[in-house]
Amino acid sequence: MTAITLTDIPVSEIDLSDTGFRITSPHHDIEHLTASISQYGIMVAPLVVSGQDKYIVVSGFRRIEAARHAELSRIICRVMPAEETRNAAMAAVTENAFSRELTPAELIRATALLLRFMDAENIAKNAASIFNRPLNTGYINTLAHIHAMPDSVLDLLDQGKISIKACKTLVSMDAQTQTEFLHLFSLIKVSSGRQMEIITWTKEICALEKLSLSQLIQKSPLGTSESDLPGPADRGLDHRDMSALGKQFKTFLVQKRFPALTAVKNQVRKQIKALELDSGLQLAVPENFEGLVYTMQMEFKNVDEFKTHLNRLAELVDNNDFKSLVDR
Amino acid sequence: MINPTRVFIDKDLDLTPEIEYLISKVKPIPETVADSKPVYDLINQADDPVGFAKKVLYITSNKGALIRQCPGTSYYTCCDYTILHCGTYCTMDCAYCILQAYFHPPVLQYFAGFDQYAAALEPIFHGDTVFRIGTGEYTDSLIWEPVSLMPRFLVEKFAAQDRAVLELKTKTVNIDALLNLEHNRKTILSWSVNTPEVIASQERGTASLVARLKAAAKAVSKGFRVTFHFDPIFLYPGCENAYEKVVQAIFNHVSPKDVVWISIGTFRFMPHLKAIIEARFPDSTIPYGEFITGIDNKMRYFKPLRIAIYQRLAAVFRQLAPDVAVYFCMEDEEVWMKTFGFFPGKPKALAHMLDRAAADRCGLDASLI
Repeated sequence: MTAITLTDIPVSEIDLSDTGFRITSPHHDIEHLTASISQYGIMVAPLVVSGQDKYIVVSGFRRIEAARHAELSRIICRVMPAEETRNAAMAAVTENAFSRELTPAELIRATALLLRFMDAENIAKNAASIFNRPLNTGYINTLAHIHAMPDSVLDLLDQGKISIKACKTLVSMDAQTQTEFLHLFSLIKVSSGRQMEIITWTKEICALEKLSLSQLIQKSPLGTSESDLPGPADRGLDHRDMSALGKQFKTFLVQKRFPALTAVKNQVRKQIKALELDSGLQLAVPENFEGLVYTMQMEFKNVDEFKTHLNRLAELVDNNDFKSLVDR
Repeated sequence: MINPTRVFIDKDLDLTPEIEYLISKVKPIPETVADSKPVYDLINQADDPVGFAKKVLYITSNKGALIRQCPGTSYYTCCDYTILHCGTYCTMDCAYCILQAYFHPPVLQYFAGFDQYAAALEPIFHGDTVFRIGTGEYTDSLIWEPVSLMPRFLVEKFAAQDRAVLELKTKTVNIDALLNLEHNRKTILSWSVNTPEVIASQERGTASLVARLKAAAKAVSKGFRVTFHFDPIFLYPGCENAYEKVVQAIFNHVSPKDVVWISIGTFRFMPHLKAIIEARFPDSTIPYGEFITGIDNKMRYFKPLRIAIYQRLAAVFRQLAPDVAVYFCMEDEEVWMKTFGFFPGKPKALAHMLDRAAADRCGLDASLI
């Protein structure tokens, strides 16, 4: 057992710049926490390691930062001896993992931190008591590979703009492509499923057209003088704008990846619209136009409505738009 | 080319002349095994089991059905082909090969036992219907020719009856040992063909198109009938002209009267083959065509794109070989109608069309059709 002492220490002697044990996001809003600490003080003492002339934070970065903002001069901390770095790393993870579920980025930072002191097999064996959840060796290695990607990956994970699943796909790519994909996901906001589609289609289009990802982005709606502009946050783009950009980019990719199918789908959409079907009638074409069976669905409330729909259906038989749609 | 680094043989197999011949032709001394487990284990622990398995030969007997119906798939029209199952897997390495994904893991197996095969074929040779039988469904029929007596055995067996034709389908030119055999037109030598670009980029270790066509011409000169399979056709810029040139090249080498049938089919694949191709052929873009999920859950080119290439090819076939039976492997009514203007929709209608072609060209008993 590590000997931990409760010590009242000057805030100025705590080195917040040493983030070696940090697993939480460095970007956060501490306004509420500052107000709470000003009013009620620190409820749970931060954990620090005594260094040569400074204390190094193990757990409680936000509390200590908020304490500084609240202009507290001294706070009570739990202090671990300097030589206890391995235990400190375990404590940094455990304190967070047993108080709430770690975010994907935290899980990656935590894994990378522990890998400095033990191998993946050892972490996997003790995962339940450290992470409060099972982790297998393969997954731990994947998380380590994600951690080795360019730094922006963790920021994007923190912002929910990229999923671990998407990162896992990027891990096998070269560093340049990883950077380009991370840049792409910094510009848009899409669901995890869409991220996978975007990675797949982008990779395939680039392979087919012998383009780099940045060249493809330049050709896309994201490319409009994008390189001359500051980042999306600096441009004042909110999540709604980035979602819209994500949709536009996906549409661009679909058109490029499936040009014939997209053209036929657009054409058929127009043809169906031109039929001006009553609201209770719905025409469905064969999926991907592979099969031969069309479906007409009818909804009605009474016999009159039923008759109206039947008459409309009878008219369709001589409708040229309908004929050209169905007799393909 | 069968050139294994390890050879395994079932301990229960008798050392017949068939097996002695095979062993004499492959270099490593066979290691005796009680069952297939050590072979499977060896292949499974390789980094690339699909590639590694091409170098491990397993001599065994076929414990399952020797004669099977082509599995086909739902919805699309099948030609009701019969498979003689005398080996599995292949030593060549085609990016699109379904065998990479079909077997878990793939194993280069030689199924020994002439007596067993003779007995299985007996009812067919004395039956009241005609059969088109091939050995090229789960393996390349003629990779075995340089090391095995099986192709020769089958050619001679089929020569002595008129109920069935044997189609030996290949991407090799391994026909020399067969050329002087008495075949009685009951063996069809068959080549899977593609454009020179596709062969060079996607078919590692196969013979060139020119070599295949020269081999076909040689076979015809010895009285063999031949067939060609444009399967899989790939869509890429300029593919229409390239495939047309392949058709022209075929008929520059052989006369239409010697061609029993030609099949055409665009690339289609089980979805999980894509990851295998990406891993094993990282420069290949063949899985990135404009594919949709077909009604049989295989990935297929979007139908109008398939029809467009088929129509181009059909026009060339009509011009150069109007009397040769050209058919689709696994397509539907719309594709047939838009390409050929007819659809063999009734049960066995396509089979009947091909049986008729076999009777005409190979001398099968037409009264049984």
